[in-house]
Amino acid sequence: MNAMLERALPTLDSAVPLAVDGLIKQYDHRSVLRGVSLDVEPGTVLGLIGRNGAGKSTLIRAMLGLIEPDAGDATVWGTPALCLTDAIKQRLAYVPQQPEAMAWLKVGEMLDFVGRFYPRWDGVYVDATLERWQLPRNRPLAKLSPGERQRVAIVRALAPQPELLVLDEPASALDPVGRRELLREIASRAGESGTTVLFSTHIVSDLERVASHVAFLHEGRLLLHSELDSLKERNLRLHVPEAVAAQLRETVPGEVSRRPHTYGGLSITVLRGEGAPWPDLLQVPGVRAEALPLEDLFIEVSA
Amino acid sequence: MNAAAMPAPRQGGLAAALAAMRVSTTRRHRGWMLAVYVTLLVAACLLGLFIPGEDSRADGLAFFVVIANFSVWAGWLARLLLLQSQATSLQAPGIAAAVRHALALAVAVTVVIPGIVLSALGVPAPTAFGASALGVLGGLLFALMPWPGAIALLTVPAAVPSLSPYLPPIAFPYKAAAVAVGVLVLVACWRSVLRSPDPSAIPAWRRPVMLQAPGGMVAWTDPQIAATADAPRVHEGWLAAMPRPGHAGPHRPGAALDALLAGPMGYVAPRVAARQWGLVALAVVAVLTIPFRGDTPLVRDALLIGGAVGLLAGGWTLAMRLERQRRRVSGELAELALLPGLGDPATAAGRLLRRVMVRLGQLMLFALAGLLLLAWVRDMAWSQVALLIGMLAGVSAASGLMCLAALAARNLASWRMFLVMLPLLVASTVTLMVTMIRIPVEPHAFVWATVWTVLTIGYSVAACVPLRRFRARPHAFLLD
Repeated sequence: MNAMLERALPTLDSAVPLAVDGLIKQYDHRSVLRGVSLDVEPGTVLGLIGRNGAGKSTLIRAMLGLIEPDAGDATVWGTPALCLTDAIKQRLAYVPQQPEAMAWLKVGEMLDFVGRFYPRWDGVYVDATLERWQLPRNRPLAKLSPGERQRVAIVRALAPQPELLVLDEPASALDPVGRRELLREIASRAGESGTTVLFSTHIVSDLERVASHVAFLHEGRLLLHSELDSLKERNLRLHVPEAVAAQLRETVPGEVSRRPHTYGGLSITVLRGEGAPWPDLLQVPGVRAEALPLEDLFIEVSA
Repeated sequence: MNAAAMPAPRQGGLAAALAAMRVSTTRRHRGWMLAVYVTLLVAACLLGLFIPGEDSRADGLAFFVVIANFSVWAGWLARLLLLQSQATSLQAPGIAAAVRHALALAVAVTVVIPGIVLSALGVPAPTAFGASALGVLGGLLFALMPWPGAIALLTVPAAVPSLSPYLPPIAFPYKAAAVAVGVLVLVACWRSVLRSPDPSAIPAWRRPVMLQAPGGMVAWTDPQIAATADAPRVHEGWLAAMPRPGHAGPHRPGAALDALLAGPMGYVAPRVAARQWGLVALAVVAVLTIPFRGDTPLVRDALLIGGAVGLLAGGWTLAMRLERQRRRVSGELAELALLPGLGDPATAAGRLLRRVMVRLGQLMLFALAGLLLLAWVRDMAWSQVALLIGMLAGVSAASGLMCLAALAARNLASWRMFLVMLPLLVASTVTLMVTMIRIPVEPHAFVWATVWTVLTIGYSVAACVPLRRFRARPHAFLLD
């Protein structure tokens, strides 16, 4: 059967692994996604960041066709996410935020069962990782700690050798060692096998460690989507003295946020576009500039 | 429980007490509990107004009040004690005081008002107020006792009359002693809850009934809460069908579906099935052979009817399981949606529908076996057996409708569904009463045939609506 399924695998195509366009989703008359459009290019590691309740998990579920959006389209390698074929499902893996499926099964039982459905299931990797992470095969999933459950879910997701890996806050229940191991695994998969990865998080340091691209979701809207290195180079916080601030009538180009400075004047955060020049305000005597760490930038954007 | 919604300490005691009652459970659950309570009290009032004075009248009215207070305390107000437990562990004396006020207010309302109403209807005051208090005590005991104790408590009303020939006359001192024992048991159970801040740490056999299901009894009326993760120990009981997927896989997609959906959809190993059926057979033999008083085997009839109703509710259980799966965002449905090997969306939907209908058919066959056993034990006439089979046809059609509604993302725990199922509930209750009391069926055979034919056809036709909706869904494993 596995051989039969393998023959059904299509060759890698050039379509974008994950794409959504104008996605809208409401729950009980509350907008969770408000017209989100996003492409995840092949081979990228996209970190989806946002505050709690920003809509990250809903966006991921809609991208994978687990929920039906009220409007908009989601595609996986060009195929509508709500109509995925077996061939596409074999090439993707998903780790939910709090894995709780099949909790009555033992670890080994669940992995053996799921492995039957994937032609490229890597049993050697499963055995080695279970041993490395000290996850006993004969223990019921229900008796594992949340961190152990998450590790098993990660093993289950990586064993089919997916070309697209989607993880919803995969490190939320892991200890620092576990988080570091997971991030290393993601980086090596992306680097060596070209796996496309989308992972959501609200831990900026995790994102900085492995992501090549970053998308910032806030209250159901995508505020930023950029290459990570470029983003770091394109932002500045300007400290504008009181005298200059008094003459400032209009919004500064690329302005993200503006608030009074603790010692007088204004503090303005700007994010210039790709290839766009810095605002002229930077040349004004007395205006000081500093590059923001990613975490501070996100706080400014979400403010 | 939403402690944040509690009023500030400076607010009055009454406002704080009402707020504590409000936050002790969900709005939907409160609505259901109040509806049940008011219905039972209104029924008691109507019976009191329209039934002329008889010897058993006072007992009958008191019985309604006992049941009303039992329901509202077991289902809702006992949760105040949980709130107090949390307030104690959080060292929040303001909330603990509010809960004490709420308990006092609840006792006052549920004992005094029904007591006054019954007294006004001519029931002696000691009986009226005693029945109200007994309902409160019973409800609290049921909610706080472990399930074996709670089941034993439920059998007391039927067991006492059956055993009365063998017991000395139950005078007031004995009754007072029984109530005192009940209060002592209640205090012991309450202390046990207080000492165990984590309910999941209490072994299942001695966990309070109100903490048994995920989300407690609130989950019975609130599907959102029912969708919380399964409690770890829920799956360890061998009575629950949590299947081992040894033979399931892409070569047997139907078995894979059963394995992942589990619960009523699951299958068990032959050894486990043999154990389950052995237990059922043992229970049936026990019910049939234990001698009861004279020729009115009240307990036996009650157990048999309870068993039959449980089997008839199999389809409802299946539908609830399917709905619950739909609401668990990280559960088995998400796994099924992305698992290769189940075929294209239309094929997978067809397979799921077939598996659900096959399992529903099996459950209804079990119900048929139960009803036939009941008919044999009660030595029923053929007309009564035919009536039971007619009822089963109606229940099967209604169960099919509920399962399809669950598959089509309809909300089962809704007033709309309740109204749709109301004719079935009324007709089934009357049918069971007619067959158990041995009221002749033949004089009204045409009416009975019409009722069950109309209901069966009606529910079958109504099932086409969710069926169309299910087929129109992009795939069968969509989450809510």
